[in-house]
Amino acid sequence: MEFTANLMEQNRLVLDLSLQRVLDFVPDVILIINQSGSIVFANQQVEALLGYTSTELVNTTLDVLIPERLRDNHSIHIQNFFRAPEIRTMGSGLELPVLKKDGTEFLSEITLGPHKVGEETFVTASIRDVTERKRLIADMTESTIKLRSINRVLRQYLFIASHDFHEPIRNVLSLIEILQRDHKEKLVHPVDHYLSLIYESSERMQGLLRDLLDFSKLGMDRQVQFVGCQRVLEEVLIEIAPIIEKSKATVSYGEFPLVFANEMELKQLFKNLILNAIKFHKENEAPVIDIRSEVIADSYLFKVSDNGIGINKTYHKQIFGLFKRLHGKEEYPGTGVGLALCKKIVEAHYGEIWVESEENEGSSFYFKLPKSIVE
Amino acid sequence: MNEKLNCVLLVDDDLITNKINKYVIEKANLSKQVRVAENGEVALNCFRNGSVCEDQIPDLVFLDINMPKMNGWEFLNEYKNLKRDKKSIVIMLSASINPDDRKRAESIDSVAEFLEKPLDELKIERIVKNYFNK
Repeated sequence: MEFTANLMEQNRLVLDLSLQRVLDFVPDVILIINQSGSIVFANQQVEALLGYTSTELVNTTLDVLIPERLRDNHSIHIQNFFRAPEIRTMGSGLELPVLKKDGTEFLSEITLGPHKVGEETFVTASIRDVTERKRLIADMTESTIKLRSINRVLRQYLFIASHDFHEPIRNVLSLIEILQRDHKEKLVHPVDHYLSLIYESSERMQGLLRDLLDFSKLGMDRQVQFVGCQRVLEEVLIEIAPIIEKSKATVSYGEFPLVFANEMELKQLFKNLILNAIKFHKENEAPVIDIRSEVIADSYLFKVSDNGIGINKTYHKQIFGLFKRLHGKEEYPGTGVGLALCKKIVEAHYGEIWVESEENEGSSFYFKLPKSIVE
Repeated sequence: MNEKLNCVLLVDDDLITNKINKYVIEKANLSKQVRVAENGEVALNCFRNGSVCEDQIPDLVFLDINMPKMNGWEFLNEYKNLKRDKKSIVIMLSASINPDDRKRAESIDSVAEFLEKPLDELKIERIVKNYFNK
């Protein structure tokens, strides 16, 4: 028994000595103040933050650290705290200017905590310089406001541009259609040929514009909810049934979870990946596409694999870039927006997308969505 | 449709669009006259002084949204206060992809429907079937 008591006493001494050192290591100023307002302990940080040595501060009153204009208020405050220390919330932060030895001030966050030693109450004050934090918050708030306003302008620009850019291109298409339909006899070679080239070019421009708008619109007014992937996938398959049929593709799929997502975007994601798998098929082989999902830790992993032409390793990252294309338009048509859109959708859901593939060996596109999203 | 409409009014600031729409309407044999107003203000004046179709109110109005001076919404705001003996069918014909525009159009009583450009034969057939097939 005695041995144990000795050991406890020894531990307590070690603890007391260590605590002093710990207090010196703490990055904040720590002061212990007695009931009459005198400082009875000051840690070493007072040198760096206030310019005083701890010996200089001990036995002075807290007033030396309070700017003159605030002294009256402050002493009242400390007195109140002593009067009813248990009522005040421990650790409640106060923001106050603190006076340094050289007469300058900084904004601090002061946390006060009372404790009793015997009959006497003491208050521990921890003082933290929050100048930098305040500045950062102010900077961030300002940047956020600026970004919001830029976003708003961009959004307006987008809708207006969609209107104004579409109109002339659509007019070109309509006019050519009129010529080709109602004035066919006047379109002698090579006029008819050039006219169809103009038509193709304009159509392509229209497609680019539409895809670019889809890409930019993404993320606006997003609503997320629990969506059944199975239903979404089946709706996509119905929607693209004519394309599947025409390409003689075989599509198989497993079971899918409910995910927390934007339904439209999820649909677009599946659609783009499946349409890609169909489009990039081998010349003499009908596309075979398989779609699966599994649970990996706290994510759902989806896999869309095909038996198509595959992708050289060099391009595995690049293919997700906007307007990135690996093939001539004659070989495989498209604007190069599809996978960029997929990436943007997956990232908007805090997920990842990547491809595993070898040239001529088919491709597997993977995307991972977290099970729960904290918005 | 048994009879041609008497008058169609195109309200759009894009002259080529108007030309194409006029051609499409004439080709479809929809109306005896096709008139053009290049913005909401001109259209409104046409209604106010009855100068649209030789003192007659147009049977059908195709209304664009984005126009200088007075846009489609502003026009509709004034239009609803006009004293009219006869109602025209007003169809918003716009290139807008903004879903808010469609919603807004659908909430306005004097708008019969919201159509996306371009106007073509199929759309005209549908309009005739829905509004003029007595």
